[in-house]
Amino acid sequence: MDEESLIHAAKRGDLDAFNRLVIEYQSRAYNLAYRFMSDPASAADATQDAFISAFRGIGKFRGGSFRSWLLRIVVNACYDELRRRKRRPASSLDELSDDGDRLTVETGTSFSHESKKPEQEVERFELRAAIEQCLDELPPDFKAVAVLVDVQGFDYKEAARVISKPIGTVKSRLARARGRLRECLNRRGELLPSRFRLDDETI
Amino acid sequence: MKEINHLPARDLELLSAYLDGELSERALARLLSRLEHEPGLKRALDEMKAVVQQLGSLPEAPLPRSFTLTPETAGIRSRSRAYPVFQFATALAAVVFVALVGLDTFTGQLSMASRAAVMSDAAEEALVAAPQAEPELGVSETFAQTDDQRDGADVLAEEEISGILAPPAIGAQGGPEEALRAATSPSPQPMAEKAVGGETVAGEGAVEQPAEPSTDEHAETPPTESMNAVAETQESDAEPPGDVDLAYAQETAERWSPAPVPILRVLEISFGALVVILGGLTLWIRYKRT
Repeated sequence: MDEESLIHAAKRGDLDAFNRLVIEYQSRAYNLAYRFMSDPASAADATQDAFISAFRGIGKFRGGSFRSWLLRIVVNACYDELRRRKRRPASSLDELSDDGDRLTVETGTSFSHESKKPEQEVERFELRAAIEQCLDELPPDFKAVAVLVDVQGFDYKEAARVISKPIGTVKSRLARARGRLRECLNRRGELLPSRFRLDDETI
Repeated sequence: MKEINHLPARDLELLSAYLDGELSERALARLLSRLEHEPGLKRALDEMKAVVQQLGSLPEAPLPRSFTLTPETAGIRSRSRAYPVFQFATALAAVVFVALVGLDTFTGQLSMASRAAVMSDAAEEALVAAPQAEPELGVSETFAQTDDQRDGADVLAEEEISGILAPPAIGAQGGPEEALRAATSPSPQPMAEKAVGGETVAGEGAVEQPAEPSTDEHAETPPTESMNAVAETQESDAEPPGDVDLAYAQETAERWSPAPVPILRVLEISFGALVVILGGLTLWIRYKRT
């Protein structure tokens, strides 16, 4: 059954058909939420809420890109989750410290599978951690565009559909997000790739 | 490196658009020209390129669980909304049920009191009438014999008499025949017809000659009542006098049963069942919600 048939069946209340769409898109939806929230538990909550909202609101889907429509719901769910987190600042701090521990462990597991030199691996790990940290520090509007375009690989047009903004806004926010990330990484200068630093010295 | 950190927003947008291939030919040519002469801008471009590459190389996060929906998760909020509705409906049904039970008990007591009063009257009358049963039968037979000789053309007069006597004479003095008449008085017309069909009483003749039976047996009873009572006694002469009070009590009980009671019972049962069903549903919804 193709996507359009599944959507039609889901509109008639077929939960199995909708769950096939969930299976198709859950990884992308969760990863968008995860990069947006920087916290697996909050990302999972936002993703689940988004799929529930999508099932209930699928009757309002009027065609076009189902992926864009679904990810727009995910982004909105992430904003809602961020608002909830702001109302619980104490627990958010706990979550952030937990995230740091989890990040170390998760990255450590991938580290053991690599076959590069230990120094390079450490450098890669530190750079990735710095990127994630800087990404998390971005304002939500900038972060959404950076994640959609630079992490998820969407073009401007689809990113504009997902955040329900004009393409010009996407371009502007993306440039600012990249600029802030560059500045953030520059503040941690040693975290830039040695290759890049070498090039920098030669300039 | 510090001068790179303070790149103007316009230059940032140019570099960003350049990295994504979104610049027009004219804008691209102008930027390339600038990059050749501005090492700081070139370095900023390289750094931004590295940032984009790093973002693109971030590993995909593994799914913590499947996000497929179950019927419960898909409908969990509607149940949450349904819970207070069902809670209120259960409470409302319970209140109505209690009110119905109360009303039924109240009307039941009234009914019992009425029955008890009527039955005690009937028993009293039966006790008083029992010794007189035998002589009355004799009187009836006498009347029958005299009436047999009479013409049966007095049907209209008979009906008129029976119609006059239609209202129940509860508490009136008399024998079991009066009690019977009282018990059957809600349907006076059939009784009158029975009397006529039996041709046991000739109304006109009886009215014309009331003195003979009434003076003998029922001195204080009016003549017309006496005639009717005698006719009815004859009709029921097959029954022993002792059963009269039982039949009377049964018929009186039926007559005095208030009409709303069966409806109340039905409503009671319906609302009782409703309370149980709604209560069960409410508890189920609550259980599912938690």
